[in-house]
Amino acid sequence: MTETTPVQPHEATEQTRSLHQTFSRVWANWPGLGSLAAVNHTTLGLRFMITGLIFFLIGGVLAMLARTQLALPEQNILTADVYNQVFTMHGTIMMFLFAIPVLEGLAIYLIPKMIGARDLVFPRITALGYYCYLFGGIIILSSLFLGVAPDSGWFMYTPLSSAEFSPGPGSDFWLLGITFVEISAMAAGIELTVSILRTRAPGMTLRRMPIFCWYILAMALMIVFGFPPLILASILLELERATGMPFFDPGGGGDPLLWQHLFWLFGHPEVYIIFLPAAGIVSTLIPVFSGRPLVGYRWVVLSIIVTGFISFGLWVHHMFTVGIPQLAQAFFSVASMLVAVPTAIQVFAWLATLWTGRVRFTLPMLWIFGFLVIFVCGGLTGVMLALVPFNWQVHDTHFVVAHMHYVLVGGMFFPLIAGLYYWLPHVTGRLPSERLGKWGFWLTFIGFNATFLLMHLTGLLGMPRRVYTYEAGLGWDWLNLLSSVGGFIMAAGVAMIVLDLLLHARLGRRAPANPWQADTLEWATATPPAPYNFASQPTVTSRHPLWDQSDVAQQMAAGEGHLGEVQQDQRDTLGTDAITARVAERCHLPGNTWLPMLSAAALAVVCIGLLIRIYPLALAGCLVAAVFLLRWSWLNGGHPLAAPLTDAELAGKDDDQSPPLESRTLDGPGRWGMIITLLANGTLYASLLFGWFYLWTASPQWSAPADSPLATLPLLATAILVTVLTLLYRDRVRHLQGGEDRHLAAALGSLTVLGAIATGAVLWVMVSAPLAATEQAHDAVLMVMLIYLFWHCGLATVLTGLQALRVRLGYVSAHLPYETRVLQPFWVYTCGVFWLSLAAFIGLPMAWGGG
Amino acid sequence: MLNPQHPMQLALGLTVWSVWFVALYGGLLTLIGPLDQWAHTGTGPHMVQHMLLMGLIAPLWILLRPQAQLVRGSGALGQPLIGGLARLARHPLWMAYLHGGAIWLWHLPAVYDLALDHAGWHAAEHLSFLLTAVLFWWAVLSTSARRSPFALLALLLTLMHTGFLGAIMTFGREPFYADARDLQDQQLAGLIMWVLGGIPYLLAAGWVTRRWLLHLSRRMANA
Repeated sequence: MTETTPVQPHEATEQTRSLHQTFSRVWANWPGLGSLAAVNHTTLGLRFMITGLIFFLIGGVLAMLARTQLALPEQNILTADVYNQVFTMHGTIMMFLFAIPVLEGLAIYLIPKMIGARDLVFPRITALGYYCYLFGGIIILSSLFLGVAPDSGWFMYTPLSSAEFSPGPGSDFWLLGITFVEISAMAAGIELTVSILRTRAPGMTLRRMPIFCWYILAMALMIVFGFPPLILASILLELERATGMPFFDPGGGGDPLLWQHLFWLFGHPEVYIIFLPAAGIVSTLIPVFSGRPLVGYRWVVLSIIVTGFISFGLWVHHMFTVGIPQLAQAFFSVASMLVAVPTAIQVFAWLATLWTGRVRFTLPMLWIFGFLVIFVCGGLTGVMLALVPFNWQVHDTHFVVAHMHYVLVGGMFFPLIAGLYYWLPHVTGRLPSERLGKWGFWLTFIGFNATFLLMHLTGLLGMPRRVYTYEAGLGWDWLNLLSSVGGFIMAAGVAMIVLDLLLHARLGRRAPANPWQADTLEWATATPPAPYNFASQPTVTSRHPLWDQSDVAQQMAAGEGHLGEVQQDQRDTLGTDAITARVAERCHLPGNTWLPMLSAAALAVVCIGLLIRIYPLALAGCLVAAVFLLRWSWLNGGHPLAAPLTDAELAGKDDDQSPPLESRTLDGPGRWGMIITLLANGTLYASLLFGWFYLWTASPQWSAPADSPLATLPLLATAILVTVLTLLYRDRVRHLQGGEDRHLAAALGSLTVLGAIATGAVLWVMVSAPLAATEQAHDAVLMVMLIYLFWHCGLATVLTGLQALRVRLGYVSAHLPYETRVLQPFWVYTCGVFWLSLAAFIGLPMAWGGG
Repeated sequence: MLNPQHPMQLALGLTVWSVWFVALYGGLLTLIGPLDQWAHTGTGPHMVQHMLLMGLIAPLWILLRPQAQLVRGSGALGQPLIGGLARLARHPLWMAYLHGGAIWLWHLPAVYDLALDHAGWHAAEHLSFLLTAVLFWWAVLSTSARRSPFALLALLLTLMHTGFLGAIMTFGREPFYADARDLQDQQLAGLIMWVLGGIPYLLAAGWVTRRWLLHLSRRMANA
């Protein structure tokens, strides 16, 4: 941003200066345009947040357009059609392109620093996530400028969003673009989970982890389990729109309510995916500004985990008015009250911390108080909405709009700005203007309440949401006018904040090291931080290292901790045990590379190809993306460009005292990444199973043939073949673990051939089955299941083939057994999915029998 | 270990005793008492019986830690069996798969109706529910600190798949089972499984987390 010389937490000596220069050479981004190839978490976290801020401003402009239109009755500034696009895009941008990515960006920026690591554990994934987000966001946004933006509301209910009622490409932009953007959410979810679990500084046991990391861990896992249902639903709806497979069309045996179930199966956890990191900011700031540890750390952790659990069971309370059984409404009305319990635990922990501490009233704290007021109000209207009769009364009125903004703006935006002001000195090394900041807060706070407090009343007086205008004299006129005025006051407040951000980089005072006297390790970096964060990693002995471990920052910066020197010109960080945080391995981290950007660009071509329905283009994009992604996977482990075996290792002399590289071990972070990815994948598959059972039992015109249209015996034989393959693969890996690698390439080669046969068999079953996938939902689901099996079988085969090649080239061997261990869970998963599919899609219909 | 003189210990002892009381007599009541009669009157009451077995009696019984006494009392024949079960119970996720398999299998309409018609199959149904539930709760509630995350995953999985099954029963367009009085009866059964049945898993998630954190802090104190 500016050429500020960083404030160092230590006295620079000649020795430390040269140490830091060596680190900078290895860790720096490439200059100029080359910085687009950066994989560093500090760089990418900031890019995420800045991009998100730009999307926020665009979303805000759309909100102002909507408020202008509604300011007076019977206006024609926006036509009904444009208004539909405006409110849909406002919601979509704020949810998917602002709230989630900005919080991911904050976590990406902060987490490695807080846990005393040098970078996230999969840096190229960070970059891929960013480019998928950027390209996907641009694709979605372009629809607005082409005048064909999605217009069925941010939750895209069918049948309004189906081909029949939304014939234009608007819904396609939403479905394809959001799915593309979700790659970045999934990437962040998986990467943050593994990083928090496996790369904490030595000694930082789970109990010593800063509370913010618990919140982010919960958010990341909720992304892993929460997003797959939406991804599946988007794929199914896009398949319906593009090919006519009737998943949501009752005429073909589908059910529009399936969309709502899958959407809210994602949507309810998503509220917490947004709220938890924001609450994490609150739980970080309040103790710092109260000068004491958080009251009830253990209770807060407990409530975070319970919140995560509860949020997966309550999706139905978003659907009280769609015609679900009355009994279900009663049950979920009561159950919804449960959510208040864990949130209340946190609120009381915050209040108790404030109460028992000596509070410093700083700018960030102002925003925290704003948060407490607004969020508690939003929570209370939430309890009101959980009451079914009241819910029916105000459904689809502006009351719901007001509630939602109280929860999301109160629960996410206010803490975010508090965090922004808190960490700004960390990012830029400068302090913002107190005066502008206060103006920004009060304008936003007053403007927000003027807009949305009154909007509750508008809703109670019956004004429906999503109408582009209204008649005069219904009692809504002055409320709408005041809401619009409030909206513009809030916009002025946001403008103050943006102005402050821009000005402070030039005019702000230099911030001293650790300006807020915080307790967490991110303040032990230089400010602005160096790309490697720390010249050495600490041994943590307290939950509040900067309060309890004097001089830890100086020692780290002087290179006196772990990994205090650059080895073989490689970027590295320590891998530690997930629970005890004992040193387990040294993780070699890749440096700058174009592959993530190129892969994301190829995927963007796929997305565009599908949008404009030029399928050869999409196919070409897929192939190019596959080439880039496989090349990416190739540059790992023992590859000469990664971390090849040294001469000493080849000679069998391992006299090195430092922990082994992860590619020399059996259980590095990569394997964890694979397993977490498979958890997400399994959730997608479980959602497909749910869809299958749901349509089977609830869809009004479901029809299933008496006998399965699939060739049962060949599928059974294939499942047995895949099982044998998995067992053989496991056997080879076990031998390899024992140091036995003779004939390994040949063995993996023959497994590849067997895998190809199994893949071919699935393809044959798929092609030969008489499936009328475009006419019957039953056949359409079977088709999706077969494609899923084909994809997994094929991918496992290709990856095994690559392993065989790598064995031949010496990148995988008894010295380097790691990659085979990473691939193993994928085979086990594929095998499991085969049998589950046989049971659920063929066995179950046979056993359903007389019922 | 228990010292009845100390008021805290006495209170603890009373709590353990009352839990045991509820578990045992609740269990008997469910299986042979009036509830069993009531369970024949519809899908909903039948579900209550199952939920009490799987979500209340099994976990309470495990919380009483009966394993040691069982080993003592079961003689030469039973000991290897309990040892085998204990080995199984080290794997929360596998036990969740097993328990889940039993739940889904017995809810297939053909199998469910079989159990309704034949007392022997009905006993087998209850036995398999109880046995797999005991194994599941054993694995989840007495897990080691290292396996606590797997116990949480097992709980989430079970919460979700029983929720899905409950949802399917709630939204089904016609009754699946022969004992349903009407569609509402089945909806009630589904909701009992989905909402009320979820409560033990939520409580257990909190309990496992709390226990885990206590383990970790004890280890930290020792380190």
